[in-house]
This record gives sequence, structure tokens and C-alpha cells, in this order.
Amino acid sequence: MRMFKRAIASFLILLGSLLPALSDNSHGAGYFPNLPVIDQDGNRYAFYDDLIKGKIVVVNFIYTHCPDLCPLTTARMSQLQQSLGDKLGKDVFFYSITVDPERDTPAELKKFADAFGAKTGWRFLTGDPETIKKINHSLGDRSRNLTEHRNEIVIGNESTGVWARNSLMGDLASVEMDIRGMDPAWRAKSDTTDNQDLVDKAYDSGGVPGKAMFAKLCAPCHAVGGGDRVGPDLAGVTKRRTREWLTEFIMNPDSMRQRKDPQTMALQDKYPGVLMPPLGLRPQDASDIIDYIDRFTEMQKTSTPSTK
Amino acid sequence: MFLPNDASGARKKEAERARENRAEIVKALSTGEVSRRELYKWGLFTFAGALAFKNGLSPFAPSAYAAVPTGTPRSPLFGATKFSQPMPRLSLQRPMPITRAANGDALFPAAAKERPAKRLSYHTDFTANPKDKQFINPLTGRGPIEGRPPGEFFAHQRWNEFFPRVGYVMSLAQIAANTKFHPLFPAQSPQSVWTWASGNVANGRLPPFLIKARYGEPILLRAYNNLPVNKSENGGFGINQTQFHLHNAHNGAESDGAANVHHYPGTFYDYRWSLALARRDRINTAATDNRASAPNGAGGLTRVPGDFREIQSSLWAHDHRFFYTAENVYKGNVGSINVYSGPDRGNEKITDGVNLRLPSGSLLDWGNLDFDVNLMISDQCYRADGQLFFDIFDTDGCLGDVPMVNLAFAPFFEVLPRKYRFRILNCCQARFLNLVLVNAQGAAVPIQVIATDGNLLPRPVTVTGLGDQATGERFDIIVDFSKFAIGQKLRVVNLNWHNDGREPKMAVKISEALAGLPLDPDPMVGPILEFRVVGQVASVDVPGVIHRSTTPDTSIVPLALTEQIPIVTPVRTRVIDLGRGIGTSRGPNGKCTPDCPDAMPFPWVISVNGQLEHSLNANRVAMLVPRPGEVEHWTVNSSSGGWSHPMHLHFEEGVTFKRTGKTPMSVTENMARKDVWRVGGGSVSFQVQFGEFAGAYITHCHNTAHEDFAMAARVQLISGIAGSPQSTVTPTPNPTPDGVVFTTPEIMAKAI
Repeated sequence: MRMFKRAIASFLILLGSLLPALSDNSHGAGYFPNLPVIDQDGNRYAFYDDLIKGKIVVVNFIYTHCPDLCPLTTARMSQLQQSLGDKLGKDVFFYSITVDPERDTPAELKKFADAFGAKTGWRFLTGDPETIKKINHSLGDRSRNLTEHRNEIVIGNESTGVWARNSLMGDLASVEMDIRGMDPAWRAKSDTTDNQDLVDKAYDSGGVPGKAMFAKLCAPCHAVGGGDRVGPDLAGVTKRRTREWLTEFIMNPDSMRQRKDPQTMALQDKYPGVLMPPLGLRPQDASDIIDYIDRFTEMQKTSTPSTK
Repeated sequence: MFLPNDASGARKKEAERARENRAEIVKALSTGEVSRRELYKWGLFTFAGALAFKNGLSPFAPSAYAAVPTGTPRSPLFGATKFSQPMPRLSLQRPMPITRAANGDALFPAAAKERPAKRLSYHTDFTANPKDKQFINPLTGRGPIEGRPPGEFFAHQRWNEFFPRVGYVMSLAQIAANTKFHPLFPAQSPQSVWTWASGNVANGRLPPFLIKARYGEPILLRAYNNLPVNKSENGGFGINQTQFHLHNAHNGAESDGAANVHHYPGTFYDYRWSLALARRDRINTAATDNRASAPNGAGGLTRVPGDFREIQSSLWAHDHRFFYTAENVYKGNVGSINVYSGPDRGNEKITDGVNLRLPSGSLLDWGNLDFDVNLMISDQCYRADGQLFFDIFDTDGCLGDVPMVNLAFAPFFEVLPRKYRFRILNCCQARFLNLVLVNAQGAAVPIQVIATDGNLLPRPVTVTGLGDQATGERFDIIVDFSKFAIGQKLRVVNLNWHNDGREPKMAVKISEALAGLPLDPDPMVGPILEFRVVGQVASVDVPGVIHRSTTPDTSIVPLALTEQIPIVTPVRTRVIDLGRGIGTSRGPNGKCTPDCPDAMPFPWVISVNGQLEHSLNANRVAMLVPRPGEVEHWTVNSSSGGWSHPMHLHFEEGVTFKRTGKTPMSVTENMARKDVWRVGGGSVSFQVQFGEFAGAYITHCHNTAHEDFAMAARVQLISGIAGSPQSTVTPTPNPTPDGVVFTTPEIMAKAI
């Protein structure tokens, strides 16, 4: 015990001479581990110095083997990436940190990042398991097993010491504003008046049951007429595949993978690094989504006759 | 792993400093200033690779030092002992009369120097005249003066019908100088504690506020946000934006404080609390039932439309800023509202066949507080310097180790040997309380529960303990001290032992709670409040009056308090399944090949009338309530083990009629009206109906660390009044310092 105390004492003296005093609630230097991490491109960073210090960041926790709905949060990060545009990598930085560093090598993360179209400002981070655990703990991922990992995001600005939780499953417009709000100077006023026309106007839920579900569950990865994204463009998909196949694929993609359905296997080869997640959809839900894709495909044809 | 209270001073000091030290150690290790080898040698590092748990040097353990408090060493108490300060009564706010201007605006008295309150937000004027200084936030010079979103969506619903008759002006602000939680504690810094105070003022006050409301007397609360503009001036937690939610009052969504409507420093938000009795559009519409009534201030009653069985009593108000609620509430953004009615009048003498004459007092016509006492119970923890601490990265829900009543450290309260009513609110962040009243011999004293979550029970239920009480749950109880001699002391003891914010580890025996647990793992187990039976007390209702033990107790506790709302065949049933994902590799026999993947808890399926649909199939189901007045039966299933979730439904209460699974139906819950239910490892079913107001409300887990996608859903109430903005889905307001921006709601199955 005395040894221990002495060790502590000498250790603290040592540290005291090396480090400036910490303020009690600082969530900056000294709070976040400055440990080595590696990204999907093999770049090495000191976590705090290179990735956190002085920056506005958005962090989520991922694992590429997630058998469940967690890839959806990454897909929604990719939507956020789009809406932040060139701010990403300049004013805001995204970090997707693995909770499964044993399996998530940089190469695995690279496949995953490419699948979600990650740009320069979005780093997928792994490292020594112990290191990753410390970093994730400091950011509030204190899960006891993989499926318990945080699906929320952490947003913060190290230079102001302001950190917050947020969710990618809410309206992304709100998340984007909360991220921008991390900047004490906020942003140009011109950004704020886009949607004043919505004031007092009814929101048209469209009479198309699949619409909201498509926006939340499908649009993060799929466009209809906008080209391939994380997954294939779905324009006209109801002409290419049977309704039965689509229904099963929407509801039970992993059982189709298990029985090595040829079309599913072909998709997997074409879109590596990401799997269509099982989303717990029921027959009615699948039917609504297929109807919506169908109707949206038709709308695309009539509204943009000459673009292609 | 735990640091007992009898540890040596040196060791305690070591631990106090360890929170800072551990960060330094990690940094030193990461930068190569020390090696692991050295740490092994010093005994700070284990061979498994983690910093040693003992002495709290591990930043990787579920909590840094001990289970409780989370994220900090045991809180310093600066020599203060329990029951060494009197319990503060909540700070009663004085109403101002409101008059109606010719143009329909609501006028404060001239002395208040406040601009009128209006149906439409001043933001509407700002949007139309963005350069007009009178509509601009005077503190920052940018953005609107009022935080309430512009336009009809956030206009006060039914403004003329529920025109405000009394007004309050209050400010949320940094705590006033020299405010302490105990005389021996250091004063809290302006960054640590943010509370409400009367008027448009620069500093917040303790104790928390109390507003006495009555049915038929709508309130206009002008809530100023006078917090610092720089949001990093927050002592490490809490945000300088607020939206104020009156839990579970019957208000329009624009005044529910639960949509995305936080407002910024320098601005105010006008909340109109309707004080409408629920079902007023359908039941007793002509206001002929004497039981649906409010005290008129002169011994009589004013009848109001509505169903007397829906009368509420003990409500509370708290911050509801998404993702910051726990921190902001913990920081002091909280208060209580007692609602008074003909039956529940707060006068124990008036005999008119309606008044229940519950313990309260009789010096005032209504709302006597002399024998009717609010108890807000919470837990706190402090940094080594005594400042309030909160671990913002603790996603299990933060636990404190210092018991607080009305935000004072473990106080005592002097009572006369007579009956008292106590309104007990759990406003801990994550803790499930389990309270018993214990006499000097260490035995539980029977108490009568008269209301749950602010709803009178049909008849009082006598218990020897309250059982689990989650964050946001309220119990109104009657304690009869007449059996105790002057000089005797009784204590309120918490039996629930937590190791983390997920659920209680166990309820200990009273004897164990009194003796202290081995190793003292959770200091919130044990006595938290002491009642001292005395011969005289000073009145709070009429200062100067002294009540003596010789004065007869005129209060009664009737055998029937209200009538039961019967369970009927519903128009619609909803089952909300918070269970784990449907593993799609499951075969028809339910088995998985090769094994079931781990899946995360998610509100996968909502079934309406047996039709299973995905919770995100928003346009089809979600939580759309198409018509007011339709009776629905809701069942919330939670198969997730290891967690208990207090689910809170905004705006309406439900009659709890069924439970399955590991939480049995308690005697105080069976057929009781509630707005917070504990779910975990089973299901709970309740009957609910919506009415009078509409808009976007939410139902969510009241453990505020659980606001992720698994635990919140938006309830969109469609009023059905054609042409009104509430007959459609509300656009999502997004407050910014420059004003509110509306966006189309992406979905409805998540709080906006």
C-alpha cells in the first residue's frame, strides 16, 4: 500500500511537471486519449492531436459485421455528408469508430467506407483493441457487447468544450443544424430562410404509404433515378425483378444470402462491403415500399423527360 | 473497487484527484512519457491491460471509481451530516392578473413592464419585419425576441376559450451568488447550477419553484432564457437552450415544450397552460357536474366542462431540450405545479360535498400548503471542489451519491402530530427510488397512497413502502403522525441499490439500509429525509400564524377519492414492441441457423388492431391518432433484459390494466391513471384517449440517456377540425439563433 502511494505520488509529480493543470470539466486535452489510430486508408493519427483538437466533429460507432440495422446509421451519416457538402473536411469532420477492432482492419473499413461513399472528411477508425476501447469509452460508448453499442452520435467542438448526443434516426435537417450550432459563430444567415414557405403549410403525407418509410429506411442507400449510391438505383426495379423476389429481399435479405440466391449473390459482388440489412419489415411494409418505388419511377419519367 | 467512507484521509484525497490524474496517465501513456512497464511496476496497470480499478484510476471501467456516483469519486460533503438543515419548501410563485386587450392580446399589469402576450408568437412579427428592433433578441442583436415558432402551427390553440387569466414571468438563469445545497457546502458557481426565478432577472434561485394552478384559470408563463450566450460557460454539462415541459398537463403541443422548440439566451417563450379539464369537449360539456370544478377563492366553486375522473393534482415542469434533458434538469431546470380542483382543493375544512378535505390547511380558501408538502427527491454528485458534476458521456444514466430533497442535502422537516399530505416526485436522472417511512424502532410505518402521477386513486391504498418509483413518477401519500409523540423522529429511507443507471440491482432490507451496505456501494441507499414531530410549526400559508399540536386536525382521507374510469372495448389497440430484432435467419420453428445473431433493441413493430407494421411505416401507422376521443388500448412490450425503462406518454394519462413479465402489477398501479410506466422484461397495457388539443407530442423513455431511436416516438394528434393547422402533420421546427426554420418531417416515428 505504501509502495503504491509512493508510486502515485512520484507519478503525479512527474506528470505535474510535464502537463499543464487541467480544468475540472475539460473535455479536451487530457480527457480524450491521444492514442494511435489508423483509418481506412492506412493513415495513422494521434487521436486527440490529429483528429479532435480544435475541430468540430461528428462521431458514430460502427462494426462492419453488424447483422442488424446498424449499417443504416452509417448510411444516414452519408446523407448528412451530402447535405453538409464542402463543409465536411473543412469545418466539420466525421469519424466512424469501430467497436470491433479485432475484425475491422483498415482494409475492411475501406470496403465499408467506399460502400457508403465516404469523402475525405470522413475517417473510419480502428486500432489496437485496448486503444479503441479507451477512445470509445471517452466518447460515451460503454457497451458491454457489440449489439449494445451506441447508435447515437456524438457531436462536439473541442475548442469550445461543448459536446452533445444526437441521433441519426431523427430528422437529418435537425441534426445538421445541431452540428452547425457547434460553431459559436453559427453560420451565414442566408442558410436559415430556405424553408419559410413551410410555415403554415400542411405537410402532404402524399397518400402514398411507403413514402416516409422509404425516406427513412431506403433513401439512405438507394436513389430512384439518381444513380447508384450505397446500393443500386431502384428506378424501374419492379420491372427487373419479380414482386415476390423484391418482397423477400426487402424482408429477409440474410436468409436469401444464406441459401445463396443467385441474384442476391450477384448484388453482393457488385456492391461489396455492405449488406442489405434486415430491417424487420412486414409484408405490408414491403408492399408499401414497392408501390412507392413504382409510383416514384413513374413520376420521374413524367417530370424529367429529357434529362437522360 | 469501492472507496469506503472510513478510508484514510490520504487515500480519499488520492481518489479525489484521480479523476484528473487518470486523464493525465492516459495521456502520458499515449505519448510515451511513461511506459506500461512502469505502470505495472507501480501497480497501476493490470496484466489484462486496463488501469487498475482500485483508486479509481481506470477510465475504462464502467465508472471511474465506484458504481455510484458515476464518473467521479465519492462526493465531498465538507463535514456536513444528514439531517442537519431544515428542508426548504418550494418557492411559491405569485400570479399576476391578466387582462384582455381590445385586439385580443393578453396584458400583464403595467408594473410588470412586459409586452402583451399574443396568440401568435412574436417570431411571426420578426419574420415579417426582420429589421424591426422591437422583435429582435436584445441580448444578441440577432434572431427573434420570442422562441416560439412563427405562424399558425405554433399559435396558441383555442386562445379565446382558454384565454390566460393569470400570468407568471420567470427566468432561467445562472444561480445567484452564495447559493449552497447545505450551509457547509461551498457556494455553487454560476456555471454549475441554472434555475428559475421570478421576473425577468439575471440570477436563478433555490429552492425550486412551485406554482399553484386551478382548473378553468389558464396560465400564461413568460419564460425568459437569461443563461449566458456562450454555451461553453456551462461547467462541463448542460446547454444554454431550453424548452419547458409541463409534465403531463393538458396543453396544446405549442405549449407542451416537447417539440423541437428550444429557445436561446435573450429570448422568451410564452407558454399558455390551459388548465382545461380533459374530455371537456365530450363529457360534461355544459359544466353541470359539481365535481368538475375549481375553487373560486371565496369558499365556493366554479364549474368547468370535462370529466372529473380526469382531475390531476401533482405535476412537475422540467427542461425538455432533446439530448440535453438529463443535464439541464440536473442543473436545476425544474419546478412543481400543484393543480387544484373542487374535490382536491387544498382546504381541509370546507364541507360542501365535493371537497375531499385532504390534509392541507385551512387558512386559505384553496391551495393550503401548511400540511401539504412537495418533496422533490433527487441525487447529486460533486467534484472535489464541491461543484455540481455530471458525466455527459455516461450513457447508462448518471447516478449521484448525495440525496437531495427540494435540492437540499438530506434535510429534516418538522411536523405536527397530525395528518400530512406529501407529493413525492422522483426527479433523479436514472435512479429508481424505493421509499419507505421508518420509525425510531426501524420498522416501516403504513402510509396511504392517494394519487399516482398526479391522478387521484379511486380509493386510498395503504402500503408499507412505495416500491419502485422511476424518474418522473409521482406518489401523493398521506402520513398520519398523530400516532407519534412529540420529540419522535421518523425517516424516509431509500431501499433501492443501483450499480448503474440501467435498473436497480436489488431492494435491500430496511435493516440493511439503515445499517449501511457492506462496502457502502451506493450511498443513496439509506435515510434521505427526517421528520421530527414537534409541538408547533410556523404557517407558510399565512406567515406569522403558528400551528400547534393542540389544534384539532380537521382533515380527512375519504374512503372514495374519485370514480374509476372503466376499461371498455377500444376503438383501436396498439402494441409497441421494444423487443429485439426479428432475426431473419430464424427458421419457422423460431430457431436460428447456425445461431441467432445478436440484435439490438428497437421498436420494430407496432401493431394496430392486430395488423403488424413496422414502426417506421410512418404514413400508415406510426402514432397517428386520427380522431379525438377515440379510446385506445396500448401495450408496450419490452423484452430487453437488464434494463428498465420508464416510458412517459405526453399529454394524456392511461389507466393501467395489465402487466406481464418480471414486473408484477403493484397495488398502487392496478387500474390507476399514470403517465410514466416502468417497462423491462415484460409488458404493460393501459387505456388512453386523446382530445381537445392536437399537434406533435411524443412518448419516450424518461431515463433521459435513452433518447436514441429505440426509445422515442412521435405521437401526432390530428384534431380533425378541418382547416386548422392541427388537422395535418406538423412541420418540424428547427430553432437557430437567427430564428426557427421549418423542415418537412422526415418521418413520424421519432421525436422531431
